[in-house]
Amino acid sequence: QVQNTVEVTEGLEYEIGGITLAGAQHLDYNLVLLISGLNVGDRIVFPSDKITRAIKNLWKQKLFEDIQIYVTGKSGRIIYLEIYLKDLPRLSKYYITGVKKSRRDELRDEIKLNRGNIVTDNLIITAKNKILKYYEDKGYFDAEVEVVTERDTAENNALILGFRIKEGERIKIKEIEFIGNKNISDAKLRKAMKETKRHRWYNIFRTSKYIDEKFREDLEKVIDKYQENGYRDARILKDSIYRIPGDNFINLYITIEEGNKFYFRNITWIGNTKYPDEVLNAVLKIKKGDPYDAKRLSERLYADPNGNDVNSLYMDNGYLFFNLTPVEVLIENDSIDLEMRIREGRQATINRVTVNGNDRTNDHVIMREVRTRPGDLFRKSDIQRTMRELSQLGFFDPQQLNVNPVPNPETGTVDIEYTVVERSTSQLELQGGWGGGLGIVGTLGLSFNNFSARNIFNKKAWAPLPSGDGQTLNLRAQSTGRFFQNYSISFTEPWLGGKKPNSLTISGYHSVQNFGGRRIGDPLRQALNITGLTVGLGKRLRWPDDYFTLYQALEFQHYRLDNFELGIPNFRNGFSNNFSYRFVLTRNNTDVPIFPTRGSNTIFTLKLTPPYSLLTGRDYSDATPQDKYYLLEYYKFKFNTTWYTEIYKNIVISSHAEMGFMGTYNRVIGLSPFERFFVGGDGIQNFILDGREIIGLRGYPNNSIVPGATSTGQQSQLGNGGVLYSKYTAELRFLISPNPNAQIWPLLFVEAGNNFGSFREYRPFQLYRSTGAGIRIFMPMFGLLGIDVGYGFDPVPGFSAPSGWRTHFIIGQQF
Amino acid sequence: SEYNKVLKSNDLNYKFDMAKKYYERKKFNKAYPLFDELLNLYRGTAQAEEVYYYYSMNLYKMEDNLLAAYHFKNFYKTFPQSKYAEEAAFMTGYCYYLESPVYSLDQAYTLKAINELQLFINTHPRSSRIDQCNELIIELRRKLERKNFERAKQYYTTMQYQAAVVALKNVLNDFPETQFREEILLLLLRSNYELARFSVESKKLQRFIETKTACDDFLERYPESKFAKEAHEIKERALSQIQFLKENQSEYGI
Repeated sequence: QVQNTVEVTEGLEYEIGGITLAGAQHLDYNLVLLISGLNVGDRIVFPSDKITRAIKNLWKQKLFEDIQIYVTGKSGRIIYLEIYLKDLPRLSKYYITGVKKSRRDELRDEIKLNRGNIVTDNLIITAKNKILKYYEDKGYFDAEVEVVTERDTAENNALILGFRIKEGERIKIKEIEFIGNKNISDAKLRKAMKETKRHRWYNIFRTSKYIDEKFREDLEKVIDKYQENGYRDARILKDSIYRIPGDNFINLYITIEEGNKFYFRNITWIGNTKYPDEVLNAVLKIKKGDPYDAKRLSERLYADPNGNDVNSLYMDNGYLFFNLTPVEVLIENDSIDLEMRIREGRQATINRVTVNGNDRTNDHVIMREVRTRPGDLFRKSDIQRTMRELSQLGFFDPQQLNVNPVPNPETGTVDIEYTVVERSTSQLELQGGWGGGLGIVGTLGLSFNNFSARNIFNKKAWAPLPSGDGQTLNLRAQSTGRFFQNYSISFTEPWLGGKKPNSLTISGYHSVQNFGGRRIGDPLRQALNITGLTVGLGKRLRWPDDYFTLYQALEFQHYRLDNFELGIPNFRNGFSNNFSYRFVLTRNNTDVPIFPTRGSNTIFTLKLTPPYSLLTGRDYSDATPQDKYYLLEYYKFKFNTTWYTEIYKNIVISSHAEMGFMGTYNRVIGLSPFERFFVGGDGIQNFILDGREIIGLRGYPNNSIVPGATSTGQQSQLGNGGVLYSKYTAELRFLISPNPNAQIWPLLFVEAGNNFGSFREYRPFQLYRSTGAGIRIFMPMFGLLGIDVGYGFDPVPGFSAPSGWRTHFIIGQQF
Repeated sequence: SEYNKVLKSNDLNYKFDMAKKYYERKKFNKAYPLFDELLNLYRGTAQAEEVYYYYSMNLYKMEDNLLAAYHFKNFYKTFPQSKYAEEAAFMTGYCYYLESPVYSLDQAYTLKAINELQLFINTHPRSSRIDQCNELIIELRRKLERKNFERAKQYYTTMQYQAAVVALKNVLNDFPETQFREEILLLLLRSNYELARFSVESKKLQRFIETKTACDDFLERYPESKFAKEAHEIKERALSQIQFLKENQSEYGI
């Protein structure tokens, strides 16, 4: 307002001769004038809207708590103005009392106050409301917040805010009662409410707190439940909350008006030229007389989770501009006639395909997985498959993967934009310590899943690691001091040459086992050193069908025995070389990797060495073991197949059979002491021993089923381990938690297997049998974990009593 | 220490002087909290402009280019008359330019940089930075061009010839002055030929005619190219196929 300390005459025009600033310091004079819109030289007539506007504009800055404009002087038609401004106080600090430290930190994040904020009533109320909201979301309805302000004497015009909180008790829901529901039971309706639950002792995973927002959503779900059953007019008449006096519980009352039940009657299709009515009806799967369920109708038309809806039928054939509207044309008593109005439009082809958001992964790694290609007919299923395959790469957050088709009706084309959000793909495993007398004990594991080998020497790419080419690099070092050490490295390029998805894997390892942990040079040292190197090529096959993959590898292993007992007579010192070729043919058409419900997985493996002795023709009858095993020679087959059948929703039978056989080219040299089969136990290939293959058989101790363990009474000529084994398993699995972040399934199994020292000893029906039960948990962070308890019916070789109950811990997928 | 004393001081002018001193001594991490605090305390005063300029420059020097770009832009919008406004407008684009990654990654910042630099050229036609701006824009455009080209070329490499034809033509349309023109025309004629060879009979004739056109396009533009011989050969093969198909067509009266 204008305070006239100097008389001015209304209606007379004055010129502003000068403007001064008073009150607040530190303000820029020109800036204030600019905001006020007043200028020296302006002409002004009282009462003036210019003054009003100036005050308004200054108010809008929200910087002042008082604004006044005076006329301070006058000479003739010239007047002098003064703008008086009083700053709003600023926040110097704030504190929260009455709550735990951890909660205080959360609240600080929530209210987001900063030093220097201008303190207005609005700021205080907003902060207070945020605190109350925070508590409401946690179920504390009695929470109280008192805000106190005090001047900060250390600073000019500054305030300290204090939030004094009384949390009160958490309020829980005792009862949820429905009124007016005649056709659907209370229990079913309560089940439909996903987030609002009663407080019951057995509901240990579900909270029973009341959150208004969630409660509103759940009321919608109750209505959904009615609509699913044909009650399309059902509605909530009233809902109320009753606080039980003197207790921390509330009751919820929900009054429902059910309305009548309706049914589908005649469904007619209009405008369809591509597909006849019969085809569309078959896809729709809604018959005359079905209860009227709008949700099911829209799912059948647009949103079947398996892509089996009418919309997808068209979308998979390029009809991007397809449009369908169901219209209720007639409602008679309890029956509804529907008319499906279709506009097919023209078929669209894809023009541009782009990807956004790849800050780390190079275009070519993504684009090679994309199945929507320029020039192709638009197909919704191609997009869905692309999305699935992009998420399977593991480089992107599956929740944030997105696709945006941009149609261009004039040219009949569509541009497709994929949006990805990168996520961390590297894993670090580090555990260890200083074991008394053992030296360093521990494991260091690094795996980089989106590595870029060509950028290793590019300094800029190390942020923190060269990444983006979709390669895998694994490094691992394991040590129990001097007793056992293992180092391994492996590298995989999934698209060798960039032309086809042929993978290249190179890996190497070195392990040392040392009984007694004696140092090198000690004459009593007993050690086995193994060094290995593998180069493998993997290939997806198109023939016989595209579920086949072929993997071929060249492998080399070098064993060095240092006074080490492997069970081979006269071969405690020396070395052996194992140079082999591996051929693996796999057919896998299981639906999902972790808990398959259908399909099968069959693996055929052949591993062989060159037949050196046949090539050289040397007579080995008098040869020393060192001569015989200088170059190992053998051939080995393995066959492994698993079939999955879903017998009821989430209940799966898995049937499994496997067998393996190792043979020799030269009877004089005999069977290789390395590379043998060991049956029994959990089947975990813990650490690399003598290249042995460990085959799990539950209900029996690890590696216990080996031929000739004590049968001959003298040291076995065969060393340890068999050359022919077979194993059969049937398992009943029940997926109780399908949540992808923690899949859980208990299982029952029956199992049988045996291991023989030679082909002649093979007795197909002489088997070690067992049965038992177990549970598996899969979490993406930890992989597969499990525990099985099995009962072995037969005595382990060398014993006479049945093997009995055995417990096995499972890490990774063995069975 | 001296720094703690500055941090705790209530004398704003002293703080500002010291912050500038740290900035000049390249102690950007020490200067940052000071400028940040002063930004709040000087709001609405004459010093606000200079503090904000220093704050933004400090961010740039700390290589926090994205935040710097945001604040430079905000700076020249808030203080359009400032003596630093031109520099800030340029720095907005330049900071985005620095964030622009290798061509094979997401190019959102490349596009932002081009927009900001172009905006600078339009609003400061007399600036001494115009030449530099133009150079930067050309460099960024080249990057986008390369991205599109490599993506189209990948279809050829992975034997998706139809996709390659569509995508390569798009590159020519989007970047008429492209530096890759010769290679694009070559890949186009190869892709057309491969596509025609493995087509169903009904589409062969049309596609061999397109192959011949693609060969002509290439040879007309690059008659001296080292791939001219290959283009001639493919053209010959396409022509004989066209003739053969036409004869058969008349035989069956299609």
